[in-house]
Amino acid sequence: MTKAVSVLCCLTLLMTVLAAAPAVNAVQDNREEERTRMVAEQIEARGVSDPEVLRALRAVRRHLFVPAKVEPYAYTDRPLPIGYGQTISQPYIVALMTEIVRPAPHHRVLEIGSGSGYQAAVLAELVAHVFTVEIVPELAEWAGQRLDQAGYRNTSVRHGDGFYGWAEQAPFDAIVVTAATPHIPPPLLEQLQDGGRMIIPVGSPFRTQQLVLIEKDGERITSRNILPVQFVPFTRTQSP
Amino acid sequence: MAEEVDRTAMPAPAAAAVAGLEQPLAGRQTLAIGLISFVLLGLQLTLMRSIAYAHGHHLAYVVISLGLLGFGASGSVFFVLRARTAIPPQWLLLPALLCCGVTSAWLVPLVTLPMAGFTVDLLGTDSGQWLRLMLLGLQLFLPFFFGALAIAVVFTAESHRIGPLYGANLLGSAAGAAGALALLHLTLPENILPWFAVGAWCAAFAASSRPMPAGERRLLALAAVVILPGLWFSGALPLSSYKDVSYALRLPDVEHRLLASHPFGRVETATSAALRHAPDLSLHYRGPVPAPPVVFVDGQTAGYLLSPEDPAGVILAHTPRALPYVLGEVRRVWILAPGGTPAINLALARGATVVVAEPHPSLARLLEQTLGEGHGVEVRAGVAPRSLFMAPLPAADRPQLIIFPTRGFFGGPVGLQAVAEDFLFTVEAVVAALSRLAPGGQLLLTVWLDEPLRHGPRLVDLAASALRTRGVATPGGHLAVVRGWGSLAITVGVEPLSPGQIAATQQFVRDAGFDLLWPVASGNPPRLHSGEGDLLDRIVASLLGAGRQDFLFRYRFAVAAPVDDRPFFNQFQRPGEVFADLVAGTTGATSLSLSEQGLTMVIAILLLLVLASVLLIFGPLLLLPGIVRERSFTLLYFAGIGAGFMFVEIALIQRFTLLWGSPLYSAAGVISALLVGMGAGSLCSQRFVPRPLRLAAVTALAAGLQVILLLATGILSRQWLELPTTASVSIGLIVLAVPAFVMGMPFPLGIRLLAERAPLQIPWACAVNGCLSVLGATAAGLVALTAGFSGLVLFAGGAYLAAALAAVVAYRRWDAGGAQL
Repeated sequence: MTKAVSVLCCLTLLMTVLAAAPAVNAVQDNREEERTRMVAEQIEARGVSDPEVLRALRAVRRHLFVPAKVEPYAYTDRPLPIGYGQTISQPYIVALMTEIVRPAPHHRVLEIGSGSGYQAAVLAELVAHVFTVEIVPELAEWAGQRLDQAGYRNTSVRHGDGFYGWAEQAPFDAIVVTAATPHIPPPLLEQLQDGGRMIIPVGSPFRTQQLVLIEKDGERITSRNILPVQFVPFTRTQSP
Repeated sequence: MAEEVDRTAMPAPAAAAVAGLEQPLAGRQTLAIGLISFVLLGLQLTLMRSIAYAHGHHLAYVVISLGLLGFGASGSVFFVLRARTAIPPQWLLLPALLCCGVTSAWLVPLVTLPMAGFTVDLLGTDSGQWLRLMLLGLQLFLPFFFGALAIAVVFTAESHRIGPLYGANLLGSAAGAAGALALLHLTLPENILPWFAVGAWCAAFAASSRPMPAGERRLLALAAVVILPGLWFSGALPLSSYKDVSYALRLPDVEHRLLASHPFGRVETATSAALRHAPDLSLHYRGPVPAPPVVFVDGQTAGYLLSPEDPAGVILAHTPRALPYVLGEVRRVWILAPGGTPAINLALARGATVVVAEPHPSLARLLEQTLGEGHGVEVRAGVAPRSLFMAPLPAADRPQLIIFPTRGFFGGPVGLQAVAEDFLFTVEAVVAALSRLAPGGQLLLTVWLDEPLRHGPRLVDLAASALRTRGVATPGGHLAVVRGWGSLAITVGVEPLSPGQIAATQQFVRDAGFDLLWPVASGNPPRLHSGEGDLLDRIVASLLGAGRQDFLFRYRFAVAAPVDDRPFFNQFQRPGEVFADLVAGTTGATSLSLSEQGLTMVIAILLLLVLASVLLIFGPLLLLPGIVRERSFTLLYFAGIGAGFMFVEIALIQRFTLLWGSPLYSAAGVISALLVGMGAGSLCSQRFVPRPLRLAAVTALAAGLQVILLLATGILSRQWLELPTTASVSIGLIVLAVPAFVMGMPFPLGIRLLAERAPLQIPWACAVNGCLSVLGATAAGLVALTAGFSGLVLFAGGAYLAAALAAVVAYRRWDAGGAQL
């Protein structure tokens, strides 16, 4: 009798799990439509056209990379606060920066300013490995956890000062800087592969910055202003 | 007869109020007027400094304008109160003074709430910011309202001796300004602010009756009880998170030092490993990047303090700013308002002796301390850069290089700074600088590049226009224009560049990875640095060639070189585009904050003030229909002298900035001379019987003297600039005091005329005068931006002449024609 009850319980549990599984998937996927709309209306409409980048944006579940209280707004056309005075960038800016560095499957990419981990996740969809550096220790930990939970095994997160890049892993095919800086750090130029591309918002931390594309071709290093943007600088002593 | 007509038109309470005027208040109320005027001016200046530090000069300008509307509102409220109630005017005096004290005492604690999270730069894009702005304006309005109400009460009740009272008002204001400036040298504004509440309480004490009735005693005691906790809770205003120093203070390893309080701005330093200095560094540079102490003035980055011995001290050698040193030997350098030491270090490293003109005395001391002894640097503290171009200069002391401070805003919009005058970046200033150079000498002008391009083209046009003014037919031959990834450096030579200098420039840009935009190299080498749709090459070629006029006409922004008459280096909006920009910004069609908003913001603020003024001036007339007849004299006369005074004051400050070399000394000198001169004129006016034609004559004389003074100082400016400083200042103060003496008469004479003919209108006249003074200050900025300071002079003369005309019309109606008021 006891065994029968145990089997019955197990069966009931199994059936409950099996019945619940599609529901969980439905919960996870019920924002796919929002992602599709986000890509169509906010990103493609503004001129980002690389199909691989658009695929990555459709694939990465942005709502997993924002705090619970702003989850409903995860796919809106704006940056969102993630604590510590930081924001997750507007989807269009993430797409634009990603497209500009022309990611390829064999690339090793350095990201400065992990923040929520979302930009790293988008890059991880497209390249071999993403190395990301975050100056706020709590955010570095958060980004690492979120990337793990989302299943991105080709990412490495490190807490540190982005000015110095990640010399041990250099050179990089592309560098994406997602925090405002008043200068272009020489160590990052050093760690950029020949033929590599770096995208960086340069300007005064509390004014608008210029999104600048740096291209390195041996001794020839060029810069091109892409558009004015406003990135939040790091603020390490603020509470979330 | 006129009085009888007025009284029959009045309700009973109003008639009783007029009867109250027949009991003049005590003479010691002159002291109360002087004290409260001291408080209001001191409070205004100290608040300006405090808000400028916490949130920037933008907000200080906006909210103080709103606050000063209290002057207009007090007259309107008092006007209605007198007509509708039987309260004798003097009964209002003590409560008004005490309320001024209470609201001053609690001002800082109360404004903290709306001020936290407020950013004036977001007004164009965030409608929620307007609510905070209105709340701030209202809170700042209250002390000025109550203080001005007290003044209006005394002016009305004691209108027969308005001369001494208005004189006390002006002299008290002058003392308040001087006192606040003196105190700001000694301590921070937040330490001074609460004490103005005590000043207001003292004014109330002075105005109280003798012997003091129990009711007044209780009122004074109650006010003291309310004021004291306000003093206790008063402190610094919340610092905007958008200030540079806020960013620095949030770094965990930051070492912060407050060094000096000064009317020119609070000086602080911050040191952190994350505060690195690498301005437009060559992309080829792989050396160390220094993280020196950063100097902040009023919370904004002024410069960096690098010791000449620091291995990274000559970091500027790897930026476009090193350009002049490749053009030839530089033995003597003038560096204007550097704010920090890197430019000095580079000059020293190139073997030059250096003269630094640093207008901020505390900053100058900091530079001296950082540089140490024996480096061949002479730091001239408190010297306005332009004044270096005025003093006699032996040929041997002429510099080979004069370095102007870098202009533009690193990656950012201009905001309301567009309306700030910059007398160093005008054609006349650059011409004067060129005339000081040794043979073969160069000027170095640098700007941060912005998109859409604005500062860069303007700087190129400034350099070329200055050369053209000196008679150079082909200015391009004297210029080298180098672009880094973020900035533009221009050398302007007194002589054309030699082939050797051009070759050296080409080598310099090749080595550093910069672009040489001018002279154009043969073969048109590809550019290393560019923007989306970047037209800088073509813009430079147009501005230096025959296509200049066409380009300036067609370009989206107004980028022609500024001149002394319109010294607005950061103003790029075309007046015709303002409405379109305003609509685009508020509807979100474009992000206005990313381009230009200076002129739009001034117009928006002016419209707001006009709306408020219309309500304050005409609202009471709607509430009291039929009470006021023949109001056109009061309206036009007091509006004319109110706005005219502000126009004259601002035009004179501009003129004396050019003559004395320093905007701050000019503002202090002009305002002091005007207030003291007008105070004396007001006292003297008591001798004259007020008659409309006399008012017309005095007002027209004031207009004439102002125009003569402004024209004469313009025509004789060359001779004036050759005067020794003492003579220049002394003569300036004297020639300012003469028209000021006459300008002090129209207001008290007008009030006395009203006291005879239409006493009910006295508070309304104060309202009109107060509102137009506030409007005039903002409108003056707009007139100067669009029509130049010469246009402002015409507006000033026009405003006073309108007042004179109003007096003539009043004469024709009242005296000549026999009509009754």
